Amino acid sequence: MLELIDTLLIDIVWEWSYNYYVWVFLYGTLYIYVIIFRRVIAKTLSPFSNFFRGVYNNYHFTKYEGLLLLVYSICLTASFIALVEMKLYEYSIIKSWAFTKYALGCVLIPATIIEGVLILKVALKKPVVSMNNVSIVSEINKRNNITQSKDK
Amino acid sequence: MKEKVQNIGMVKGIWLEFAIAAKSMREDTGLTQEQLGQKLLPIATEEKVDAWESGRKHIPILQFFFICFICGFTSGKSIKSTINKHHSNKK
Repeated sequence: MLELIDTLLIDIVWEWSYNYYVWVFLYGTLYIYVIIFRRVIAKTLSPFSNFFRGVYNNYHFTKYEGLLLLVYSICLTASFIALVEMKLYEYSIIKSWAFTKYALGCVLIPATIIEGVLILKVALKKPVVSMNNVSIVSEINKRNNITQSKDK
Repeated sequence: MKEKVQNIGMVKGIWLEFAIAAKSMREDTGLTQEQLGQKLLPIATEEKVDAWESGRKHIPILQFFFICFICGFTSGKSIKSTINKHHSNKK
């Protein structure tokens, strides 16, 4: 949904010239908000739809989503640096925009590729949960800890 | 001042979500609280990790991102081997 809105508004945002990075930064924070607050958003929308009720009841934050969050945060930091640099350039405080010109692409291109891979992994991964919606691995670890403490 | 800011509902909500996410990621990777704490920089004790996950203490942002990094790059082999051991013990 966010990608769709971003794609639709890109032509309008391009015309903002120096303020384009304001949009990039704000939209980046929106992506992070949606990942972190997915549970809260599902809880708010659960009275209106069974889908969101299911999302809330079976909430599971996978390690790939954590990595995605990290990638988005790196992109956000790079976008913020670019925003500050462009604003300083706009008001003639600095004479060049080296970070935006040379380094930003080097950060965003691999980040975009990693983001695509991670989104695929998130979409294809089944969470390791039992019927009681408790992680099987944590149950096993708990039992192992109990047996080890008994042995001692 | 810091405590006043932290007691605002929205800020509490953010830390709660971080706590839930950290716990879920750790369980997804198959690490115990002690194992995760050993991998962090600086090293965190099991009690500290438990306090973060239960929401009693606010998890530092950098530590949260470190947890994302550690859990993201911990292979699923440890989970599979744990599950396979469990199934073989059952038999």
